Amino acid sequence: MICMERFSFTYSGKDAPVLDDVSLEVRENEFLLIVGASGSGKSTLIRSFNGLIPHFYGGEVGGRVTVDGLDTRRTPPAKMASIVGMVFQDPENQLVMTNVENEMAFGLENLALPREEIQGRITEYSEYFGLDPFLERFIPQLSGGEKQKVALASVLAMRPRYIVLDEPTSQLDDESASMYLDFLHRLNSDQGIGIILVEHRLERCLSYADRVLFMESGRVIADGTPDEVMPLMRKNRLVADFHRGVQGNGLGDVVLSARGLTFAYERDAVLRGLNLNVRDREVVAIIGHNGSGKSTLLKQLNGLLRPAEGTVAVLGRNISEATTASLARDIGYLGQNPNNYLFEDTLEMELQFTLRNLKVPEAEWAERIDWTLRMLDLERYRRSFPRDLSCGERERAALASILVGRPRILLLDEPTRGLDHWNKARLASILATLREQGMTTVMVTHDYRFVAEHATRVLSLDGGALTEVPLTKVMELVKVCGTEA
Amino acid sequence: MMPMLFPYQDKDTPLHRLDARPKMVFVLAFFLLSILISDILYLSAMLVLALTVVARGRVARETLGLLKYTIYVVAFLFLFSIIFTPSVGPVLLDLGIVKITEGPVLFSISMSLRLVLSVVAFAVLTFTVHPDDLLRILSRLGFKSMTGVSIATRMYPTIAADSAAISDAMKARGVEFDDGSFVRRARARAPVMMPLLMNSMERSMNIAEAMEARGFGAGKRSRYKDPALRTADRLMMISFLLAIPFGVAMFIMGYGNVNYLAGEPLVITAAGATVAAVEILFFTPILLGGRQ
Repeated sequence: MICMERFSFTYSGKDAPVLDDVSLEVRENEFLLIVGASGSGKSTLIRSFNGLIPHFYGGEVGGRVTVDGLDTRRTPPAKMASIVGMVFQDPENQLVMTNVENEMAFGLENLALPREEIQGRITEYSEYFGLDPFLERFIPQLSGGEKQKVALASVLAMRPRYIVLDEPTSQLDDESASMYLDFLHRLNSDQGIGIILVEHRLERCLSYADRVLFMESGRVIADGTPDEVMPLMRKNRLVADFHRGVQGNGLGDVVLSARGLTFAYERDAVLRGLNLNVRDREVVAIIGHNGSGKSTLLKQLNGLLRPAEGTVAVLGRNISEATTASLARDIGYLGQNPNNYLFEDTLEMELQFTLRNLKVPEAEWAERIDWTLRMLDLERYRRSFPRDLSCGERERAALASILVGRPRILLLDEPTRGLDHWNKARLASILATLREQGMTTVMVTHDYRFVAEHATRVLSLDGGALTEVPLTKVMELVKVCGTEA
Repeated sequence: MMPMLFPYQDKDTPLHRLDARPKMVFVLAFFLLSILISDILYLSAMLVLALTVVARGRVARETLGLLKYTIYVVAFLFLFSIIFTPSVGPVLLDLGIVKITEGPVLFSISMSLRLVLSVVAFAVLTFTVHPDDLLRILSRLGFKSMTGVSIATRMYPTIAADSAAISDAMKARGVEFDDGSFVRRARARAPVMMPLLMNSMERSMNIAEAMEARGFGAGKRSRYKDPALRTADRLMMISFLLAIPFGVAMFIMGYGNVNYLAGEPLVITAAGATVAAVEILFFTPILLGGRQ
């Protein structure tokens, strides 16, 4: 039993508490889902269960947390590790070793278990997770879903009684995420391990969870079964009904086209004579399985990668001689990780950086910056350090650094990755407004629901070429991933 | 898929199968001797062995990749010692203002060989010793900070991917990378460094947190893999280690010890050749590699 009594926590250097007088109990074999807007204190709450709060993050603590009778304040997190396991958001940032077997051994070595015991547990848990063929594999070569599975297996091999997970599927595509969540459910029902999950893919989790905590401003404002908390989640737009989008071929001029694109990494052919026509104000979504070359295709469209054969034309102009930077005024590109766009001291300076590079006359700066910040609803962060923003806000800040150049075409690589419903809805409404003002969008994504709701045309990349996907087919994909709500 | 960026080359060769410990002792002893010895004859013999070892481990291409960068240093070495050291020995080439004499040229060759040998020794370590083994061995020797080295190796592909993605992001924000002079291009790269540094800092915080949550630092750890050394491995290590006192003793007696800048010429004597051969012999067992 995890017992939290009137627990409060304030990060050092901050005035307002992140957790404010929280009292709750978590039973050993519960499947507990914690929901709430970003900044509501979910991450801090779960880090209090294994003592990372306050041991790893310094700050002011009030009240207490006991886990199976152990006070987390008096037990260091390293000792706590055998009772409460934890899986984090980004698989890249929690795997320490270079191969799977050594990774699984790492935690067990920390528990100072004898070699035979470690060997036995690695065998047992790698079989349970279906990782036995992977034991010798190089971790950097695994897919995101596989890495996250290794992270879970490594934690589970330590035989904790509870596993705390902080948005473990945020970096995964819908299919791997569904599989991962199914697996958590199995762990909970087969092995009786308590699951405490912070997650934004709520549709799937809600059917597994015994109990849902709804957090707001550092407090638990609702605690009950999924059905009981549902109205509150709806009200806060954490879940929303599915709205079928409208599709159809665009009728405007062709603004972006590719003819006979061929491209290969070393010897692996990725694109084979691919053709693409995008018309004015279309929102084209490109889907396809992992490794089908979607991101590669997107990078061909603004010259980040060059085809071995074939041509790309932007606004009717062949781009083979133009650099990506010189194309940036016409065609914007937002990669998968918004952090890669953010480094200046303030958001305003970030936008100025782009304007300076694009040699936009300074007289236009103020107007352009105002327009961009208003469009993305970021006015209040004008003077904030962009990296202090939440995940969804960082995404919009990165988008701002591109939109301030006022491109006519926007390329987006997995724009909804890591976003909850609320943030996705905002992104969708931004894209819709931009479209009204004349923007053409091409996005690469695994998010079938987002595609079904917001794309005007869907293409699938398979075998190096594109085929049109009818809406009915997209709807089937949405159902398979269980994201229709 | 994107090409893999990872220094360690996962190959199945006799050299890769050899236990990490004899390999590390080899690299250490080989490196020490290559610094000590100055005679071109000895150094050349060592280079032949080093290249054979690299070939045996099928990492010749990767090693040449590393050596590419030493060319600049070697060129600088030659230029510097020819221009700035006084003329010693017979004149090889008279260019009017500059006379190229034998002493500085031989000295530059000797220094370059040492440099190349050190790089090749480093290549053997990087390309054929698994980073996890390196961590395991060094952490047992009490180098706590080596945990960081292993994680750096693990993060290498991540950081390389980050760096490529940041370049893309900056190009998309109008930064021209391939335009203008070398200095201008170098300057354009600066905006890549900041996000890269910030990403890496965030990542290292996350990793530290994840390690703590998995019980690292709780106290004494146990060791999962600790394969016993074979007799052959032990003999190899002894042989490599013996090369050091032998080399030092011979060096003191004047073998392999030449000061080209003092005008000593390049000579090959029977005694010198024998000593060089014996020195190499101490290292040759590495070519046997590990068991199938």
